[in-house]
Amino acid sequence: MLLDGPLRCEPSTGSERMVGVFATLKLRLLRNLLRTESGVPFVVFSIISLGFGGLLAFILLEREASDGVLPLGAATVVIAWTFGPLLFGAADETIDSTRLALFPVPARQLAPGMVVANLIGPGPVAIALPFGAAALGANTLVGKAVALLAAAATVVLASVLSRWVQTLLGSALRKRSRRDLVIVVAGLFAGILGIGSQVLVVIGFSSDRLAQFGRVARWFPGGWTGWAIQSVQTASSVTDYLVPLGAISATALFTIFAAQRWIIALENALAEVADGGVDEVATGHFMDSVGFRGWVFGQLGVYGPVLAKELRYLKRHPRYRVQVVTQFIVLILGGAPFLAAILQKDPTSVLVACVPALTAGITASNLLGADGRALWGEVLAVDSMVVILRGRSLAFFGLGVGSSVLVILLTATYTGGWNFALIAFAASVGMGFAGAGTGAYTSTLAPVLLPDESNPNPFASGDMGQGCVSGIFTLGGAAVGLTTSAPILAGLGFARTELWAQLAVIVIAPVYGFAVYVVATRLAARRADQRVPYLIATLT
Amino acid sequence: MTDAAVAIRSLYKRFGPKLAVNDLNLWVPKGTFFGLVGPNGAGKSTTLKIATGLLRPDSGDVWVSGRDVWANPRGVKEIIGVVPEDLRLFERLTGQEMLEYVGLLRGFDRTMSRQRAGELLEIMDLSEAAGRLVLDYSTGMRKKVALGAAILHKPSVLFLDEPFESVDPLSVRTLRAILSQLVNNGATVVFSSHVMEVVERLCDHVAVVNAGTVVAGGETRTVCAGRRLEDVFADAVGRPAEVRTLDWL
Repeated sequence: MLLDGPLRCEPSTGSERMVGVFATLKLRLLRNLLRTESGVPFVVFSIISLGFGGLLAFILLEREASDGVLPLGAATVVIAWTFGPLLFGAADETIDSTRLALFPVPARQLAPGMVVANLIGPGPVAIALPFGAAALGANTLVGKAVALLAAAATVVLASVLSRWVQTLLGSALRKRSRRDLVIVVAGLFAGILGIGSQVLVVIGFSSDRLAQFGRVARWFPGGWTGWAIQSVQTASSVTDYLVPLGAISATALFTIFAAQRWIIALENALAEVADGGVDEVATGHFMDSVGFRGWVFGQLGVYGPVLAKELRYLKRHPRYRVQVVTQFIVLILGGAPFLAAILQKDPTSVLVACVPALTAGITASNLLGADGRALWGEVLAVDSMVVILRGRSLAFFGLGVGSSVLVILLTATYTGGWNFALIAFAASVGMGFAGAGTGAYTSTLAPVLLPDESNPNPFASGDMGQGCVSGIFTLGGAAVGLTTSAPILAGLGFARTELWAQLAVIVIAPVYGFAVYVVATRLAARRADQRVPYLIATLT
Repeated sequence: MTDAAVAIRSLYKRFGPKLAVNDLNLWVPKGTFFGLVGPNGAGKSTTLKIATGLLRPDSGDVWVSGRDVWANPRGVKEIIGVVPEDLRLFERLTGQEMLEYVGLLRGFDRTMSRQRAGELLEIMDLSEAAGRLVLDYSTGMRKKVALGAAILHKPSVLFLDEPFESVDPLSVRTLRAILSQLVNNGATVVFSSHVMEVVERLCDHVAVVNAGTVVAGGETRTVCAGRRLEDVFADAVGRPAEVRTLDWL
């Protein structure tokens, strides 16, 4: 039968054929996603994104976009599409060079299919809707056609840039040193975004400001075509179309250039995909049984080994390092909402230096994910999800409070607000515990990131779109952490001026936070206990 | 080099401080069932990755059926099949979909891809699981579907890294039958394994790799010379055959 059949057929893997193959693959992957644990979150994400895109499209059909909106929107889409996967860990199997490397298909033939696959899904449709609506708003048929061309050029550019960046990442991230460099760059990028949003809040936001940003954005990739769509809205003569068509041509040329560079990078990636092997050497004993740290672990009893292991992972595991670096960079730089107050040497700004402790909640939201394959070992050895969840989240508590202490020291040194340092520290402990507890609970709700440890890209999940869904849960977890910390934050508000509030925060905040931690981890364990068989079956 | 299925000359590969492959030379005759054995960390998997164009060597040459792997990796990938150790499969496709997809990537039309996928699933006793996601497959099923993906295009040389690990005896029998059929039809099978009995029973040629180099090799009966392969292996890697014990256990 099979093996007695004809010899290999001659390869007939043209680019057009690959487009069909990849489009089919992507549709099947999306359909099959509905059969997994991520199915419901994926549907929710799809409804929200399509609803939002549809709403924007409806608004743009009803009224003309304000000056600057389209260039700014298009540039934002291109940047977000390009770098989004880097920050949110969304990757899919259609672009994984480690899977495609076994096949004798040249990168030049794979590339069109991979771009098309990238354009299929609720996210791209949600993005295309408002641009399509804006294009249809042009007052002539030619204008509509030119604007649609510009909209298409925008999404194709975004897709090509996205694939290029991810392919480069896949190659660059084989070594720990390069991985960490990329993580820091990504963190800084996110930090800049965070600071940018703070700046916007400080300087205010108006239609004039929007127009100013739009004028800047139109010089960036994507902004060109956004500006072209905007320009043709009221075009009436042939000359009115020349500059927009020039912008579209420039985008097309830039896309071709990016595609050529990407294909070269992809060809290299397909030629060598195996993991680089040894690139890190660990030293020391697991529990560091001598010294202060060993003493601390000893006092923690059964939680000690779990915490010790988690701290090792924070250092060694790419996903954890992403979380740690993001925590420090994003939240210390971008998450300092009272940056202005600090710069004005307001001593009470020390109080808000406790906010980074809340990041314990963000990082703890993926407690079961990063080393999921090893979960069975802990389950067998400890047989208590309370211990596992508390031990693991304690590591994030330490990180969150540690970063707060650092910020408290720096802020107090700079502003001279040392008399607020103890209050801020107590609040940090309370908020750290509250965040760690609620994060642990979120980790039992969120889809666990399917480990993809042989993939050198630490941002990739083994499951298409899972990183994005998990990211949404993480943000939700952070919101819950913030809510449970509200009493502490309220106390801090009064503590700026009232002595009774300062004393109350010092005494009550750690106790309150610890109580939240105990209750939340207990509830989380109840949920996790029910989920353990599924988790172990999925992850191991 | 044209009379060898695989020829490797003076191969080196270093990972940081570790020299994984150290002046490795290997000659795999065409139409043979070739076993690559060695202790953990000996360099077997690294050698197979280099030979299949998945990892670039620091230096050295590799030819597969007369084609230089690193001068023409695509040409080599056309004629080889690979079942890697880490089995990175398309988890979110069903078994049927995955094999069809592999067929399409290999240049088959849809009808042929579907037909071969169906036949492979049937011969591997996976017909009932054809509609299940690969993610939900057991280890043995994953090995079988991975082997299916590797032989769907009827390769001239098939590389398998630990193909029988974690596979139940019945599945091993199925896999062995398929591999034997491939060899009988003129293909060459190269596989690494820790299971000496399997290598001894299946392979007509064998090479023992230790510390990144081949320390013994040739026809299995010549290499064994009437002894068990396990003893030959223990001698070749320089370790005593007797097993140490733990006093406290």
